[in-house]
Amino acid sequence: MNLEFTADELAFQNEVRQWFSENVPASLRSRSSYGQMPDKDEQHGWERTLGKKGWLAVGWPSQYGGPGWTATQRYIFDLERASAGAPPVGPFGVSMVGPVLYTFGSDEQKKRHLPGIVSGTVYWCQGYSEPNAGSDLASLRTAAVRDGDHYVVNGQKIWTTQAHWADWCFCLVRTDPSVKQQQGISFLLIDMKTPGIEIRPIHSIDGHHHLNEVYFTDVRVPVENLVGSEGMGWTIAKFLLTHERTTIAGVADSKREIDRLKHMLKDTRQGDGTRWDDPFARRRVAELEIDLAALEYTNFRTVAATEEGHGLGAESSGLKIKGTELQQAITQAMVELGGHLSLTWDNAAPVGNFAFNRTRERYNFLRAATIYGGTNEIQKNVIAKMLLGL
Amino acid sequence: MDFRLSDDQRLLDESARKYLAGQYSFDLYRKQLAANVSFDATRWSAMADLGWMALPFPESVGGYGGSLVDIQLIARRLGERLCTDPWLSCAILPGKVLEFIGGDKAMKQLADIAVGSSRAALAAFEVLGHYDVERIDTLVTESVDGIRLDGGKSFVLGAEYAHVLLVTARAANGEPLLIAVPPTAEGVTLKHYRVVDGSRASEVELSGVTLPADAILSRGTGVIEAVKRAIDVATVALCADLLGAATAMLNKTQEYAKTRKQFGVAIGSFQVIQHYLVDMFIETQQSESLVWMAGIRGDTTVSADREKAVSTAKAYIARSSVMVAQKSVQIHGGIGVTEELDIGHYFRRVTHCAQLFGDRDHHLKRYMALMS
Repeated sequence: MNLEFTADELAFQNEVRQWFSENVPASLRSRSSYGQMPDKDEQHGWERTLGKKGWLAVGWPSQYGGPGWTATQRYIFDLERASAGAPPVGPFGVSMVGPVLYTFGSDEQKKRHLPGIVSGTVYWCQGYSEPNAGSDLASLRTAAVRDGDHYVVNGQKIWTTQAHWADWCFCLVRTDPSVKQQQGISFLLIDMKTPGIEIRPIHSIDGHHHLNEVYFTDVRVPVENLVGSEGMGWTIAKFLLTHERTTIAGVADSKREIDRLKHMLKDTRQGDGTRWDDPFARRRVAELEIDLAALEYTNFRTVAATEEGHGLGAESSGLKIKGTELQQAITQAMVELGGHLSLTWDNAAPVGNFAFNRTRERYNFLRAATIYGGTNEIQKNVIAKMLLGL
Repeated sequence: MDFRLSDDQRLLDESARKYLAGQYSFDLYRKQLAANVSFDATRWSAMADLGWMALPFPESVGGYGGSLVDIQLIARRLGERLCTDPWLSCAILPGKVLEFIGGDKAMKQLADIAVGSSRAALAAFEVLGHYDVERIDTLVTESVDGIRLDGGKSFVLGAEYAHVLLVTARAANGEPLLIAVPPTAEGVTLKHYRVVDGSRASEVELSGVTLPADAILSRGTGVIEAVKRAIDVATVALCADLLGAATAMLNKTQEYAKTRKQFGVAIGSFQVIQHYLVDMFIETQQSESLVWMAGIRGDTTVSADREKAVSTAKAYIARSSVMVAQKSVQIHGGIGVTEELDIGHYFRRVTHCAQLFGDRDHHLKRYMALMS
C-alpha cells in the first residue's frame, strides 16, 4: 500500500497548478471566492481556454482529442482546478454526449460533433426528464415519428439545465410505442435552432435561471442524427449512468468550500474574537473535514482501481450519494454558521462579512444535487440491484 | 497510489482468516462467555506460533518489524469472528508501550511478549480521567529501599491474564513514571469483570505496594508520549476490528434479507430494507478507506500527523460502524436482539470497540485541537 503520488504525478501537479495560476480569469476567481457560479460568457470562455490547451475533455481517448492522462492525473487536475477557483466543466458535452458518440456514434457523427465538444465551441444540453417521467424515466413520451429522411418530434422536456445556452440537445425520444417501454426509446441529437423548439425558463430557489422547459412541436430532425439504432436509447442512458466518473464525488470542490468556510469563520468578527472561536462552529467544520476524508480516500481507492483496470461500475453511485450529501452539508453549515449574515437576499447592502451574504444561493442551488443525475434514491436502487443482488 | 496488499500481507491475512475459521467459532465464543473467560493457553501458543505476538515489534527483540497495516489485517479478522482472545490488550498495546519507551529493561520484557511467553496489560486509565491518560492520581513515593505505590487504575483490559501490569503513576514532583507491577505483589488487588464485547477487564487497587526501584521502567514526559502513541496503535487496530465486525454484519444481514420472507416475499425486495442495506454498504466502504488511511498515515513519529490520521478514522468509524450495527439488528427484527444469534453479539462488540480508548466526541475534540 502506498498513498503518495509518484514523482511524475507531483511534477504533473506542479505543471497544472502553474498553468491554472496563469490562466484562470480574475472574474472566475472572484465569483468562486463567493461560491457563485459563472455566467454563460465566463463559463464558455473558460471552456474554450481549456479546449485550446487540450485540457477540456480530459477523460477522452487521445484519438478524439483527450490528453491521454491516467485516472490519477485526471484526479490531480480536478483538485488543482478547484483550488485555483475555476468552475467544473459543463458535463453535457464532455462527460455525456461525447463519450456516447465515441462509443456508439457513426464515423460521420464523430467527425461532425466531437471537435466542437473537445474545443468548447459547441454547447450541449440534456433532454431526458419529462413532466411525467422523472425517476421513472423509461415512461417518457416525447415522440419521434419517422417521416422520410426525418423524425418528427413532438413532446415536452423539463428540468433542462442551460437549454437557453445550448446549441444542441441530446434527447431520449420514443420511436416505438408498441414495444416494452425501455425498448422503444432512441437517442437523438437535436439542433436547438430547428424550428418548432420553444424554451421556457424555470426559476429555481437560488434566485437564478438554470432550468427550463423545452417544448417540441413538429420538430424535423434528420435521421442521421439518430445515435446507434432505433430502440438503443435506454442502453445508452444506462451506459452513461455507470460510465467511469472519477470526479463524480466532487471532492475537489468540497475541499475548496470547506477551506472557504474556515476562512469565512476566521474573518467574521464576533464579540472580541471571531466566529472561529465558537467550539460548536469548529466542531461542525471538523465533522465536515472528516466526512470529506472518508469520501476522498474512497475516491482514491476507485481511482487506483481504475488504474489497475477495474472500471468503476455501480460504485460510482455510492460516490454520487456521499458526494452530494457532503456538498449539501457544507452549504448548510455555511448558511447556518453565518447567522443573520446568511439571511440577506438582494445584497443591496452588505451585512457583516459579505461572504456569508452569498451563502444561501449555493445552499439553495445544491438542494438539487441529490435530485439531478438520478436521485440518490434511484442511485440506491442501482446499488441494491447491481452490487447487493437484492 | 496503491491500495493493494503485498504478497506477504495477503499471506498474513489469509492465515489469520484460516486460523480463526478453524480454531474459533461462535459456539466457542459463547462457551467462553458462559465460563467468564476470554483466554485459552493453547490458542495463545498457536497465535504466537503464527507470529502474531512478534509481528509488529523490532527485529532486535525477535519481532518481524511489521507495520500498522499488518496489525490491522489481524485485528480485522478478529472482529469478523468475534474473537475475544486478548491479543491486542496483552501483547500489542503493552508491547508498543515498551517499544516506545525503549531501554534494556523494557526491551527485555518486550522480547518475552514477542515470543509469547509473557503477557502484559497496560494500566493507564483512571476513573477520574475519562479517556485522558495524563490524568494520573496514582502516586509513587521513592526512598532508598525502593518505591511505594498508592492509587488505582481502571478498565485494565487483560489484567486477569497478564504476568505484569504496566502502571502509569506520578512521582512526588509530578513527573510521570511507568512502573512494572507484578499482579501478585502484596497490596495489589484486582477486581475482574466482563466488558461489553465479552472480554475481561479489571479494576486495580494499589495500596502500599512496595517494589524495588528498578520496577520503574521509564520516567518523564516520554512515558505519556509512549502511552499515547501505543493507544493510537491500538485505536488503529480497533478501527480495523470495527471494519471486520461491520463487514460481517453487513454480509449476514444481506443474506438474511434475501431469505427471510414476510408478506409472501423476501424482505430484501422492500425498498426501505434495500436502502438500509445500501447505506450500510456505503458506510462500510467509506470506513475501509479510512482504515487503510489511518494504517498508513498513522505510521509516523510526527505526533500531530499521527493523531490527526487516527482521530479522523476513529471519529468516522465510531459512527459508521454503530450505524451498521444498529441497522443490522433492526433488519433482523426480534431475532436480532437475542443471545442465540451472533448479530446481537456483533452489536455489542461494535458498541465496545467504538468507545474503547476514545469515542467519536473524544477524537473530534483531538482533531479540532489540531485543525488549522
